[in-house]
Amino acid sequence: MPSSFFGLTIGASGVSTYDALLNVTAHNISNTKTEGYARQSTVQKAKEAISLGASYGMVGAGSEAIDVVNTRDAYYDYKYRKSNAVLGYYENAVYYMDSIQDHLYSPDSESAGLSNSLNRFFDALTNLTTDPTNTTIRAQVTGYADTLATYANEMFYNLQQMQDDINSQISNTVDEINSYGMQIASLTKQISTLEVYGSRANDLRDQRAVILDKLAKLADIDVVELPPAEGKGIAQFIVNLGGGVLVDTNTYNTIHTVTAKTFDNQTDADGLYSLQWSNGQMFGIRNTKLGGKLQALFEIRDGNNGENFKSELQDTYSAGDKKLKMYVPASNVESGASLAKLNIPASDGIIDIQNFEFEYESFEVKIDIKGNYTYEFTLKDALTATDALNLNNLLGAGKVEASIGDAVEYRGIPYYMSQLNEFLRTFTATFNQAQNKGYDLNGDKGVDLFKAKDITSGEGLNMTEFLKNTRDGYYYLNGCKVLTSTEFATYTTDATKFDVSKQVRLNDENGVPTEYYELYDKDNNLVETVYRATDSTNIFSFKSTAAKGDTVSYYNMTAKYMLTNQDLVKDGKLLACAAKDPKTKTGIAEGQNLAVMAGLQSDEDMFKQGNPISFLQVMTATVGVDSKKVIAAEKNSQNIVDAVGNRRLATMGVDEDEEAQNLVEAQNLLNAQYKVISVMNEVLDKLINGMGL
Amino acid sequence: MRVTNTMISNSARSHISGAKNKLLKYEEQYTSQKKIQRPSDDPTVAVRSLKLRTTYSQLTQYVEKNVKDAMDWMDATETAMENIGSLITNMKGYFNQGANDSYESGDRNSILSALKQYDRSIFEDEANSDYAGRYVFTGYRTDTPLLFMEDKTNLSYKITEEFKYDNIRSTTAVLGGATYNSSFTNGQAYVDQAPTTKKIYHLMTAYDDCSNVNNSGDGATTDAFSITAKDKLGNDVALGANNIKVAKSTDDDKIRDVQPDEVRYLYDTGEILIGETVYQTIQANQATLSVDYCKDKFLKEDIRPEMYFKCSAHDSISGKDIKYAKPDDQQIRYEINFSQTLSVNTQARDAVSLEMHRTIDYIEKCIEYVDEVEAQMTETKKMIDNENDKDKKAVLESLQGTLEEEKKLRQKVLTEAFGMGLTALDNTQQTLSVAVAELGAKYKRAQLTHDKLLDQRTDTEENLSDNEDVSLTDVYINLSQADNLYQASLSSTAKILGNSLLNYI
Repeated sequence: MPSSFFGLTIGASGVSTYDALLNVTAHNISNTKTEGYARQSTVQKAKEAISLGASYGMVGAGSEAIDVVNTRDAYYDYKYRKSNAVLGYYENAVYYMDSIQDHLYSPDSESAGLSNSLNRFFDALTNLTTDPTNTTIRAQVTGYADTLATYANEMFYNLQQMQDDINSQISNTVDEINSYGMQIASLTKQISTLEVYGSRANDLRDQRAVILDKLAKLADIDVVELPPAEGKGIAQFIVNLGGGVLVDTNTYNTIHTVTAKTFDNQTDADGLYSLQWSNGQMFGIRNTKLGGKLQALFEIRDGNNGENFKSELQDTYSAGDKKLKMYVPASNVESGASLAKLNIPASDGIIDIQNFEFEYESFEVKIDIKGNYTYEFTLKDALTATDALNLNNLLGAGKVEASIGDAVEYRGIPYYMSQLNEFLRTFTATFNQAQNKGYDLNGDKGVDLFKAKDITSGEGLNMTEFLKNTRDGYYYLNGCKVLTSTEFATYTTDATKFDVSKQVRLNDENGVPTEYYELYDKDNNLVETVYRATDSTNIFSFKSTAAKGDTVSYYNMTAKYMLTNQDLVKDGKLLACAAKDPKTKTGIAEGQNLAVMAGLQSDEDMFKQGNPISFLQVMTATVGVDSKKVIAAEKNSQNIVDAVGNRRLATMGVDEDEEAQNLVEAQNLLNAQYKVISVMNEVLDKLINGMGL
Repeated sequence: MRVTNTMISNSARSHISGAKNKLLKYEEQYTSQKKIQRPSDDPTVAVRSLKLRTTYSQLTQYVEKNVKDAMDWMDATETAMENIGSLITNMKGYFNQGANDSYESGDRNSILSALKQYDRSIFEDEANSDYAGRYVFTGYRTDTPLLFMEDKTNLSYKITEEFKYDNIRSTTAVLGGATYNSSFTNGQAYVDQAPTTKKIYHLMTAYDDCSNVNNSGDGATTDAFSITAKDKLGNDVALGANNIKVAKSTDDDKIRDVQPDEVRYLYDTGEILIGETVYQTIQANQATLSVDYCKDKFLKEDIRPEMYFKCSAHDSISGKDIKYAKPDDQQIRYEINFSQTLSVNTQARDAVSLEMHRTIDYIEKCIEYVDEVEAQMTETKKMIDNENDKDKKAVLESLQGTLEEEKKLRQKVLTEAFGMGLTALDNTQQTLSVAVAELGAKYKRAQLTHDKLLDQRTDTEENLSDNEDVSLTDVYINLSQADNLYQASLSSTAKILGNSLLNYI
């Protein structure tokens, strides 16, 4: 027989159990809109029965609430964070690709744009064929050339501005990551402290999960929770990011931006960041598993389609050497080492030779008649004995690859800048070559219409055109066919074409003989001017830091430094429309050279892609298709995040209807408990006060 | 699956945002009238747009400017050439009159002055015409008139003129002739002086009043005159001219008596006389002759040599030497279609031959000779009338007889000269017709190109519009649909979110 008050105790246990249920329900209802909140529920069970040895056996002791648990599912958390990292990547990629597209493409033929400026320039040239003597149309042509150059400069500044913006975005993102890391560590500390006593800190865990969700969008994370290790009282909670440890239970690492003093690409903005962990470890910014916003930012800031400079180290070295020699065979130059595509910085670049790094101050390039390139880099610091030994050992073991800049397999800002430069270099060189061949209205030889800006003086430099003619296979230096001395001997003595006795060797402005030769036919007509290469191997060389007076190659012609020769802009008469001196030889309306220049618009051999517009078309298609791809991927990953999020909500979300139901039920049940107590009370009352003695 | 209110509200939110995105897209299309704003909207459209815009802008340039300009230029040329044609036709009658009748001095001179007027008109009014300030017949020298606009004494030219073997004409030269000599007492003395005729071979260079000194500053040679020949294959031909004589037509009355192995150049009249042997060599080889001669003095309205011939000049004021290239093939080419050019100009040297112009000079010279003889005859007649001495009268009458004979010969030469004028006129007309026909063909081509370009431009405009412009109907329907979708998503959300179990408890 149990205690007479036992029933009252059972009633009390029911009250406390359903009180807990009511409170949890109220907690759920009040957190319906709390971000990341997982529905909680009480776990209740019947209290242990008491064995009284009575005839009816065990007596139940009521109920008790033993735990409050939440319904968070670790699998969906994992899935959600992984897909959120993908979404974070594409969201940012879409944003910046849109900006790149806006700079490269104009939605109609009226607005400013590279292809529109180019069309206007060529229209004016075509117009000029109707009257080469018309100074108004001439001024129009040079005016449009100026617009073209200004537009190229503007495009460059827009792209570089974007690169700068992305760079500060990287810094902001890193700050955000650091702040999240700190919060996670601090929450983990609180959770561990609370959970030491055995219960789960559900709400703190929810808070931490929300931060992890947000962090996952910035970069892909791996979250590991380990039960307390042997001899340690608390559970371990580790967050890995980008190959490093961001949070280790109560402690966290931070990431720092490091301003680079060197450059990866010729036209990179100053002071781009790389990252470093607070523990001194390098942060792998090129890690393709980095994921999230951070990876998108780095790829768009640095993406060069994997076309970094790759060459083969040559020579043997000794301590104190300041120069490294590298070689790129003609078959490989098109991947980024050719004159039109060369995108390495003129100075302050880093040469990577199998993980040995050397900073260079400048370089010089020599090109031989077969199109092989030899690069000679002048190092900032002379080689130490160890350096020399290392290099010689490598060279002894076989081919040694030397690269400059990272290969980033994404078409980001550096890629489009380099495309722009390639376009401008080839286009301006071809145009200048044509312009140099003709005569202007004053009867003088045509001068360069497009020039590269001298960085120190700001003046235009006199350019040296070095182009390969794909039709006849010869190289042309300043418009003159380049011949080796052996070729020269056979070429110039061809009696069907030239009269050798009339050959003239040209002098420079100081009267010193040059290697340019004028070849005449029997009737004393100038057939062509050729250049005889004197160097037994190399036919053209240039310095990265060419200034006034040096041979200025089209390496210096970039969207940033492109100029229109202001002499021509001011005086259209200097446009070289005539093939022969119009003052004395023919007449001012002769426009044979103009026809050549206007014909460049449809010169299918100018680029691998075809004529100038074709090149821009391919560029537009590339940026369009790439953007379309990321836009589709963004939509897709948004859908995945939504779906995973919904699945997660299906388990952990609070449902108002459900909770309303729980609320009513809890209320009723609680009332029932009160009834139990009241009944028990009545029974006891009767027993104690009513049983008359 | 358990569905919670948040899931419904999330899904509603994403549907509303999807509907809004669509609305934004069609609203952008509706207001900008363009299908795409960025290449990623549709890379194919973007790329095609670039190409079509370039093509459209080129076509517009061709059709609205270049072809039109070409046709205007050719119109100006054609008008001038038509005028020249009718002038030439008008001249024919005068040459015919001269060739068929012998006239009195006054008539001869009026025919001559009419011919000269027409000739001047051909060169000064027509061949010198311009289109919008650009001379049309002067090749690349559109800034320079065909003729000298003022007398030029500071320019010394050396001119290289080319002739073909069949340009050489056979004419009759009158050699000798009697003049009054007071010491003659015998009529026979005059009879002995009676003029003879000789068939000679004769070329007219483009200029008279030339120089016997080379002041052109052309260092190659200082000769005032030289002649070389090449055969059909371009090999040099030795003319066998042992004697090249530079003289004036008035030096001697037998100056035209050219010897078989001789070439004589009369620099005042610009005639080249070729001896029989030399002539035969030229004919046997069907040779092309290249003649260099010099001229120092140009009068207003003289033709600038560089327009017709290869030449070099020395300017005695500036001290400059200019070497003019051979002016052939100075085609002003307009780009009228994609990598298609049309040469719009006609050069004077191809349209207006100098042959007739110089033949008129020759006729003038012949008339001068006849006039001279007639003047002498009038003089002699007076002397006969005043002479009383019978013997002396007989001597004078003998002179008169000889002069009569000379006049006949000279008149024959003059008639022959008018005949030559007719041939020259035919040749000139022929040259002009060829030039007119050529221009007509080119004009036709320009016209066809214009029509074709116009069609192409319309097509391209349509393509361009199809490619990048939205169809208003389509986009309006799309916009309305998007709007409906948006409204629907709003109303369904409002309906769902408004309800909960709590409403019923």
